[in-house]
Amino acid sequence: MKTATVLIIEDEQILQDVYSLILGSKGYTVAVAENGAEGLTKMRAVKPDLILLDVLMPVMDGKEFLKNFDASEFPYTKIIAYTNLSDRQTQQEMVELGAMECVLKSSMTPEDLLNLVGQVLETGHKHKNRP
Amino acid sequence: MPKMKSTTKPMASQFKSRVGFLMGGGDMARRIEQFPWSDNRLGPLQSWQPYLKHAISFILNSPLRTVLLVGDDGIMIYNDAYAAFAGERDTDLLGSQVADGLPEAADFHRQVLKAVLAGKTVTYVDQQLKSYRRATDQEMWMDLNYSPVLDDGGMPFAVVGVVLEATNRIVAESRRSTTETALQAERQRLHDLFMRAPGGIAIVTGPDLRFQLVNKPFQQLLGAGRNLAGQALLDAVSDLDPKLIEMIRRVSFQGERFEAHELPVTLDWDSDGSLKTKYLDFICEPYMENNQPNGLIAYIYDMTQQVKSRKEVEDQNRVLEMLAGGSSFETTLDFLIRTIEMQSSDGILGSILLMSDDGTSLQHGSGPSLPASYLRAIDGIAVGPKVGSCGTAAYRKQPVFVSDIASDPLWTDFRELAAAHSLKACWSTPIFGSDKQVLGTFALYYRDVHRPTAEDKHSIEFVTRTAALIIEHSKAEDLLRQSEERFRFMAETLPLKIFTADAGGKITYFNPQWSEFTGKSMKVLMRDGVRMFMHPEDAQSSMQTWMAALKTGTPLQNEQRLLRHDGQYRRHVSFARPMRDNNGRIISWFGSMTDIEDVLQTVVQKEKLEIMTAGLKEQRAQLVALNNAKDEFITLSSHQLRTPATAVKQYIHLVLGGHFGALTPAQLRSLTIAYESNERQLNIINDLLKTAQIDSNRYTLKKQNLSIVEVLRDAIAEMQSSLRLKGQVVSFDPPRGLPKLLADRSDLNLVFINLLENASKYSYPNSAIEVIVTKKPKALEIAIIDEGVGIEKQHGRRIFEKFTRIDNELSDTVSGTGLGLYWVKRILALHGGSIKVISEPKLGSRFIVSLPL
Repeated sequence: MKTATVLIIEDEQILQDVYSLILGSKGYTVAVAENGAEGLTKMRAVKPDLILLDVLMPVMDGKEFLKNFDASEFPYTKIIAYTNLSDRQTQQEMVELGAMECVLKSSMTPEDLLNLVGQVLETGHKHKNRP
Repeated sequence: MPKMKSTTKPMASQFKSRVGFLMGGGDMARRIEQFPWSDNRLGPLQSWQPYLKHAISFILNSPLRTVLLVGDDGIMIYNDAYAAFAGERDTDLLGSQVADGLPEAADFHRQVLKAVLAGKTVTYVDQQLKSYRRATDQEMWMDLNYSPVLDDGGMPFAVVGVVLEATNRIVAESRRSTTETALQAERQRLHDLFMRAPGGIAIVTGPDLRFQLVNKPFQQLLGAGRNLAGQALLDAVSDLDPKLIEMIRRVSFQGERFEAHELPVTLDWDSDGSLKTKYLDFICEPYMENNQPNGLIAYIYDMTQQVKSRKEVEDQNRVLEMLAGGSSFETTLDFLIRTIEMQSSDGILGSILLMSDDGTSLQHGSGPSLPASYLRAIDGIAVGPKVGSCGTAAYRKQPVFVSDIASDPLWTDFRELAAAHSLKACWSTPIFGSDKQVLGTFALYYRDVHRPTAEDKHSIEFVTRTAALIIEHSKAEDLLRQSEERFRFMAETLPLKIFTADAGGKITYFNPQWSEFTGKSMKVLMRDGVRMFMHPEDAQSSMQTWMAALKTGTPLQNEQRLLRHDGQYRRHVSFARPMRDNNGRIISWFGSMTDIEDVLQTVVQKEKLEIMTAGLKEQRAQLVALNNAKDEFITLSSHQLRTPATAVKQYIHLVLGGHFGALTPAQLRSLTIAYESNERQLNIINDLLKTAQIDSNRYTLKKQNLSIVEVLRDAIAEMQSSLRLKGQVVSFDPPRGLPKLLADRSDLNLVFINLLENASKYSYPNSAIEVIVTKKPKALEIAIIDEGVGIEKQHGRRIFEKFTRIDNELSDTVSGTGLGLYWVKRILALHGGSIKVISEPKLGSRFIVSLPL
């Protein structure tokens, strides 16, 4: 069975590295984009099954990415927003814009992350707001 | 004739003519000398009359575009400036008849020649002409001036025509340009001024300054009686001011140019033995012969009328300023009369009589120089067909000029009176108001027999016009005075308390509203004054303000409370304003007091409220902005702090999980401490951020109907594992049928988790914790009761403040940021609820939460 591909859209290199390491260790194919704009560009080539999407990023942030993301072109791609912004509004907004979950990065252990990614991929749901 | 190329070179030229009158005449002088005149109607050069030669010399020396049209057929002779203007056409023009040379303008020139040779001066303003200066025709706006040139016999023999670029254009262009061109334009304007209107031009030459050429306006200006042509200047104008003679000599023999604007020149202008002053614009340019000054060309323009008109306007302005400044009617009329008396050299005496209201007689108005006994005698004379000059003028509505009182039938009844006061002539003119009614008469008396000149009539016209203004102004003031009578009527119907006082402040009038308000009779009011009714706290300052106003004469505005008949003090706003007479003296005060109590209760209060609200709003907006900035800062900095801690957490967790190989027990212990320490840091960041969020005005509650019992059960369940660790038990037995709350579930959860956590943390192991819910009329009360260390009284309040951690025997074992109770208090406040604590050290604490229903 082909392993799932995860696109990490994240501007902090230390987090890019550690999440690549964690996901790679469980056999996921990992690609990295520096920001939302680069994420949109890389979508075609990478065709990810899942996107780990940061919120605060330069050039194009997570919210703008979701607004520009064409769900009809990638109906099977799931998105998990993860951020170190813990305010309710941000989390709510990301979910409203189409992320399946919005989690607080700092609260997640590597196990938590792997569990979440596994669960989301398993549920098999399409993009949340665009059936 | 050889074709000559015209140049734009001005007067100075290399060409030296052998012919006297052409010397120094530039390119045109040469062309005139070389022209085959023998074939021309004017005949050979040598045969020309001196006056023609002088005229030519004059135009050749002029910087203006000038053409001479000689004789009925207008043979054209012109100067360099004109040649440049004519451009290509120039080659055929010299010596030609103007109708042939400029056929397109033949009719025009025929008319000009006819009029000017008959002695007239003709001016055309803003004529559109074609200039042939360049290859293409160029449309130009020109002013044209044609005046006659006289021969020895004083008859016009030629027309001198000057072409000027239209003044408006020049001025407009010069404004755009530099100061220098503006100056040039001003000079041009001066030239233009006298060229446009009939200006006088004369040339005098030689050591005795003999008149060589005089145009008609010049002759007229100096008086028809003087013989000028061919005469020496000092013989012809022997009464000339020595200073002017000196100037003329300097121009004529030292080559200085002289220019004066509105120069007063006093001469016997009319040759009737009387000296008069005329104001002249004056330009004298040296007349060059053999490059040496030997005489002058004088341009003169009579500005007398303009100067006089302007002076009149100035006089009138002064009179109007007097009126505006509050001068009395009589003072202003006297001033006007004195002005006209001083300007006359004939010793005139002015008088103004005013029409009575019924229009049948004339009353004294002004006569500052006439004898008082005379003024008394004519005061009240009838308006009629034979009542001296004034009564008759008012009757006829026309000026009456009596130049000899002794013989005039109009004065039959007053002849002796006039004789007794040595008055010989009297001219009277009606003063008309703006609607043509006769306001009065203005008369000029003379002590000798006198006939009016045009100038006198002009002065009279000015005085009557100005007097009309003064009289009408005064009538308007009378109307004002009448309106004061209407004031009482108004005063008695207006809903405000009105008083008047004399200049010293003594009350002269109270309107009936005062009696109504105070309940006192008018008699009592007049005796006791307003002070009696003032609030004791206001009385002194009000009276001081009133006294100060009386002293300085400035209007007063004040506020004070006045006692109403029912014993209520009501706030009033008071105004007082002085009324002045024509001399500006205060004659009375007018005051009003308005009851504003009701208004203050409603409108003013509303306004004040609005002002206060606006102030608060602004203040609030500033605070909000500040707060938002702060929140933003905390949110973002927390985010930044979390990122490295997150990376640390991930890596240590991977290492601890054996991802990078097995660990020794020491490595495991150390890394576990590192991990926990990192977790604590993240908790602190979380707490700070939570605080910032709760403090933020953007913090919103997601309210829903919920059961307090459910909320409390969930919180207790969540705490169960940690409680169990300390062997603590929570007892919770809520009553049934409690109403639902409208509240934010997760926030209430946070509240009770915190309270339960504290109850647990600050209690001994195995102690009991009780949660009690009580329904109050408008609220639910939830008590969380522990058997813990309790709180010292002095800390009671502080525990709800940020970062407060109280030292007690258990605090060392407890971790925390000291923010929990702060959140609790804030969240409850956001719900409209509250929290209080009752505590006994060592016995326990009871936190009581109240949530509104």
